[in-house]
Amino acid sequence: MKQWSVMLQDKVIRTFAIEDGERLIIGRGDDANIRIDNPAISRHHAALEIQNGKPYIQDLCSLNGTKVNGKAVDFIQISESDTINLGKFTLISGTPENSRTTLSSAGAPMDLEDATIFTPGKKPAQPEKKEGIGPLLQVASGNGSPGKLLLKGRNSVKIGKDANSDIVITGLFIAASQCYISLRDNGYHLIPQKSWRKTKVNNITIQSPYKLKDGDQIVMGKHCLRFIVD
Amino acid sequence: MLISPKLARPTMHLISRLLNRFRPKLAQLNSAGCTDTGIVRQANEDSFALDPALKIFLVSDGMGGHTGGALASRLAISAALTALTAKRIRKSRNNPVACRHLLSQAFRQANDEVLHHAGKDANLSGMGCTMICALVSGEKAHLCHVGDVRGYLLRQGELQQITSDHSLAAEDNSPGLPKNIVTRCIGVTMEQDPEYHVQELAADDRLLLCSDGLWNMVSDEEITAALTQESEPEPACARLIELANEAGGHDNITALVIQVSEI
Repeated sequence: MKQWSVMLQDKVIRTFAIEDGERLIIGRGDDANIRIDNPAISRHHAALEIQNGKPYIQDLCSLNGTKVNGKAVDFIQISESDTINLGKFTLISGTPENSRTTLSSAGAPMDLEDATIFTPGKKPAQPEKKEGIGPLLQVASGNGSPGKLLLKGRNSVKIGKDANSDIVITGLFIAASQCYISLRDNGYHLIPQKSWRKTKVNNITIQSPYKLKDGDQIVMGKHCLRFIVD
Repeated sequence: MLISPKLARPTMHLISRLLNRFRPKLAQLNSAGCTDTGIVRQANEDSFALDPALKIFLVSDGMGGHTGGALASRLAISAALTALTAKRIRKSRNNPVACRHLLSQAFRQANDEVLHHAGKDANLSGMGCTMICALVSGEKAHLCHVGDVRGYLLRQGELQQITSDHSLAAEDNSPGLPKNIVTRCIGVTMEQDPEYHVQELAADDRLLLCSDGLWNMVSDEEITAALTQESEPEPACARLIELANEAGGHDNITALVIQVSEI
């Protein structure tokens, strides 16, 4: 059994214990094991687990990311001297000496109140800079739905009339599968499909796979999508 | 029109070659799957499914130790089978991009389904599974997977691993890492679409889809030997499971063998 603390600057917000083999979810959601009520924290922000006595941290697709010693991580083994940042909060192993006094029975409720200051109702927290949302497709004109599609984590995207397309576009002569956007080793490629209405990129009809660049305009009839690299 | 007997044969040959060009190339398959609890575990959390008509083959391994692993693997497979309809498969025939998309979508639906059930019941929260799906379309096999399930190709006596493991041990070479931590799986977090591979098939090729209960226990040489000795998929699967159990059977074991009889 090991003690861990969630800190905000030099104040302890939470302390909790974790056992070997256990996995705790840290987040803003009601179902998180360790709840941090702050808009900069995702509902399921990160998971801390101990496997064979070694701690691991996993980022659970959080918006603001999980950083170990300043580097964004997905899943990594950590050591007790590492600094783990979740938004503005810091996760440390054990309880820090200098703030141990504030953990007395009188001090603890005050700390808890401190943590709730950041709820949107009382004081809107400044949304932290969104980082690394990665490449995306934005509908520039036409009724393509959804209007914005993040490509992070997607290897294959379908655009067309089909209801199961990732971006559904309508219109005369638009094909059920108008085109695919596929991740290959060196970037996203547009792969046109058989269709009456041709797929154009920057006003040039595309007939073979085309590697997309930042700012490219994909035009299919009245629809225009823009490919943006973050 | 009269064709002299001298020219008849070459003409017929030419016509048949022309016709062959337009006939869709289809691989004739023979397949079987088998799963076993192993010796150590109490329950079998592995699942598999095969649809010889649509040529879909699935193997899934519920996450060991987590509650609902068996349920997760079953849910994932049934969701994937629902997504892979005959119509969609027919439409994406001979189109690798479409096949890849279809499989990615099936995995996303499987993930949604498992998450949906996990969210409804607190006892099931955190359940997950690894999965591999092979779709044979035309003369190509399209494989998608997440986690440490493997896809192998046996061609002319040589075994080749097509997939790569999504596990901590495989991605980070430092020694001493626990072998059983998967970095990608269905249900908990699927941040990324499944890994995709396409494999051209030739006559007499064999594909093997299996869970880690097999490849952790049985060496590549033993797998090769078992697959070459048994000519039919069904006894080959049984033999592989027997080998894994002889080696200790620490985990659930699933093997699915697809034999290409002709192209």
